[in-house]
Amino acid sequence: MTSPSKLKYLTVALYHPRVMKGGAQYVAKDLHDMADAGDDFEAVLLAGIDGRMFPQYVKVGSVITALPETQNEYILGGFKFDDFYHVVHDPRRNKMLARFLEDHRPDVIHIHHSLWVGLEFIELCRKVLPDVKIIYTLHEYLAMCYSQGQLFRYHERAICHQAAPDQCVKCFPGRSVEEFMLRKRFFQRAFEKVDHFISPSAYLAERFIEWGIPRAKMSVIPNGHRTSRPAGWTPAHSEDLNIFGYFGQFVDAKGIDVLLQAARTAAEATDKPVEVKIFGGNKSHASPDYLARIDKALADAPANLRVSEMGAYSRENVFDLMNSVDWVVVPSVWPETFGLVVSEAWEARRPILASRAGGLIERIEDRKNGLSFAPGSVSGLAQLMTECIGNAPLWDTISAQVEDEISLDLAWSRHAELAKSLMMSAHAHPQIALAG
Amino acid sequence: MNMMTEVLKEFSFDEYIATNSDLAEHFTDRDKEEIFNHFQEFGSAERRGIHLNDYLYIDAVLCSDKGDFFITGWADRRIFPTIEISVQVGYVKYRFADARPCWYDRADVNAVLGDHDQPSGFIALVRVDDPQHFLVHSALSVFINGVPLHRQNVARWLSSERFLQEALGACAILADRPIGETLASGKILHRQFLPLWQRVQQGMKFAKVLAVDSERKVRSSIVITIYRKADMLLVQLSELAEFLERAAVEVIVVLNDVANAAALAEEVMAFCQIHPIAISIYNCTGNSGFSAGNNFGASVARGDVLVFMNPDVFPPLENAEGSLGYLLSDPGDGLHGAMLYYGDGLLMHSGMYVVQDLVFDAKGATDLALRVEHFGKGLTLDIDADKQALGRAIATIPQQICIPSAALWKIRKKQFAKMGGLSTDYIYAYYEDAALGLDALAEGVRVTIDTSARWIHMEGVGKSMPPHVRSFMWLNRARFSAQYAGTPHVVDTLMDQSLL
Repeated sequence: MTSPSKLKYLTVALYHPRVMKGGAQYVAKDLHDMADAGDDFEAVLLAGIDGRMFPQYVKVGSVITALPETQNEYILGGFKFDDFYHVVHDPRRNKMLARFLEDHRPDVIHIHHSLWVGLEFIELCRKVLPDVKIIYTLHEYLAMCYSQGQLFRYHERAICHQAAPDQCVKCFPGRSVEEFMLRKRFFQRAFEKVDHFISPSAYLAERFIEWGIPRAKMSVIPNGHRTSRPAGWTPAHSEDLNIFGYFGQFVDAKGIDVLLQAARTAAEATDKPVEVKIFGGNKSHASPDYLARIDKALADAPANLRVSEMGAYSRENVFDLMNSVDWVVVPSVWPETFGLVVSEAWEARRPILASRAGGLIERIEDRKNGLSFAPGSVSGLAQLMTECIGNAPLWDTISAQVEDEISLDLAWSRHAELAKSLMMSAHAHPQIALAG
Repeated sequence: MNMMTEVLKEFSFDEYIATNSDLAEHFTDRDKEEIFNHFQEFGSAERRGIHLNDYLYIDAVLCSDKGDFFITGWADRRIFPTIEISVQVGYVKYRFADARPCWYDRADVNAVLGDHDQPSGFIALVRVDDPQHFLVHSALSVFINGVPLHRQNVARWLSSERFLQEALGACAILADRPIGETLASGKILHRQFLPLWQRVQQGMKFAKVLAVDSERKVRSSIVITIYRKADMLLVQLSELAEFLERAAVEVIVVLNDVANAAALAEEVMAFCQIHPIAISIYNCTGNSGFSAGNNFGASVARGDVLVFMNPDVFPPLENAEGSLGYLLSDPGDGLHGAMLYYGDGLLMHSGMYVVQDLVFDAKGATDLALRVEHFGKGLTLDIDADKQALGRAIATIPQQICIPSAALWKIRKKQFAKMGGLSTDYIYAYYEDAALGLDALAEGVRVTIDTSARWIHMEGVGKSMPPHVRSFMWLNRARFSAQYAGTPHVVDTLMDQSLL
């Protein structure tokens, strides 16, 4: 039973870190844990998953199952999902979800994704709990971009600055302009039932305001950072300051090809050794074209360039891995919504070389807490890498100026404040904007 | 000096006997007159001595298990002015004396034959008299003018609907040509296809696969007939959900050839858990066509008013009251259409009208072909335009020729029944709505476009049509032209230029 003074806070996520690791699910789980740890909320977590991919988490005949050895953490398994309109029309699932909502009767529902959750879930929440407050955190651009929610035009290899239906068909020639018009209407109609939206960056917020979400319903709260830095730790670098690290998924829009081409150019311009370490998984999701560009970048590479694939990493060991490189490169060619890796690099006081893409623009202040270059610019990045190699004064200056991202405590307090203000008045339009 | 020389015409008796071994045993050199008589009476007609495959060819044969045969090929018309088709199935031979092949120009054939005066390509659709007792067999032979030109030792027999679609697909070679060149063939072929189409329709059955809130008292019944792809239905229902939940309205969905209707019914059921609307779904065993699907929907409707709606029609995002009100209001004894807009908000049309054009072929034959046009297409008044401005613009539309589009229209159930429903003579779809509109005008039924009903028609643009669709559109146009050309509510080409 919820105590009368506590608000019931239901977090609805795409995946659970125990099922599959990923930025959005870490954010959702962290916020759930914060809600659970405090005195003001009673927290429940429901994580939507693709039951075909993780059948071990789906019990026969049941749509919702408890995650073993957890309190109030549940898995919502699905077996079919309309990835265009983001809906799951499943009578059994609706029945169980309605029952789940009736049983838990949350005061606030914080939805972190529509994938494997479904937009109809928002409507169901409204039907079952007409007065519930619904918060929706936008972790990517899926509502406005069917192309993996990345606003990246793969056919042009460029950021999409205008997600209009006639532009969408250029990425999906098999679909019609009308389909994309309907898709937008469908998302917008579902989003009308959301009380408030949270964006981790001003860039993402502005894109969605431009898309149609009222400014009054949008707040910016960066993803809070949970520190793992040991007390008394001091940053250090290698003797030659020539090790560049990439942390992230091995997929097309992350720009590993740009990094490697730039590293090659930088290595050709110096006699000193240059090392690139690539930490990240999901290489199997990279396109053949992307892998071919990477192979081409490395073919006949100069002898002083050493590239190592280091495999996947987790946030449990990322601090140590960050310390194994001198510089962290974020070469994304898609408009990153936030850039979790930036927070992780800052934690280790690593200077960042980041593309000016999406949420990275507002986070990286050039020559203060990092260095920036134009998205996709091999020459721009190569120039920076050349400047960085062996440049201890630059490293020391930037490393000393780097500050941590806002703490998870602070981020959660903003979320909690928002939830409470929504509860206080049906007519209030709370808005929280944090620079970081 | 007279350069003319006398041309002597002489029949080569020896050659005739030598190259026709069946004659040698009957005739000798002394029987020249009889030999010549044989040539005149039989030999010339049988084209003896000619290697027929060089002048007559069958490209393809389709056959159905009910004794339909679709044959395409070409012939040198100077040698074969007409063709007579026979088909042998197993041990039974069928002679189709009344076969009327449609001839059309084939530049590739003409270039080889050298005949640029007459069409050489042909399409022939023939059928046996008693399809129910037709016996299939592995062996199939096709004869043209008695000459065996095509043989299949392992014939593949198509079911009627598949045969219809494949034969229609093969007709696209005509459908894609200018209407003036093919209208006459279209009229012939439509008549030939019609019995087959009727047989296909007769084989269709409708089964109720979902009924939700079937006890609700309703004033209107919205009939949505869907062909093949139902991917927009749930999106459409979502957009109408708030209205449908509280209104005295039922939705009747008729599925024509929709894959996995059971899954769709389950999805709609799930939708109804969240949005309690009155809806029933009927699944047809095949594609009954737009007319039959809608006629069936009307037959099971409980409302006094029938609203026929395409699955790609959506209310405007704002100020939708008038549009939604349209779904409930009574059209009286009239036929009411709606204003239809493109997805970008510009006017698609405010009603349709029918134009007859004088068309002609290269040989100078003329005819009247009808086309359906739309009032207000291209008008730059969008869906949010001031109603008065729109009213002024469309005031110029002559109501006596204005008919609604089948994308969205309504009529009382009694009136619909009185008019006999939509004509099922139109193969699958197209032109049946214009036909109903013209019938309504002819019968004095008041036809109105409700300007307060503004709807967005998300009709796919730029998508290519499969060949069989292009063909039935063409055949239906020919059928429509044959019936309505010259009728009072059809305008001519000149008047078309002066209309909005």
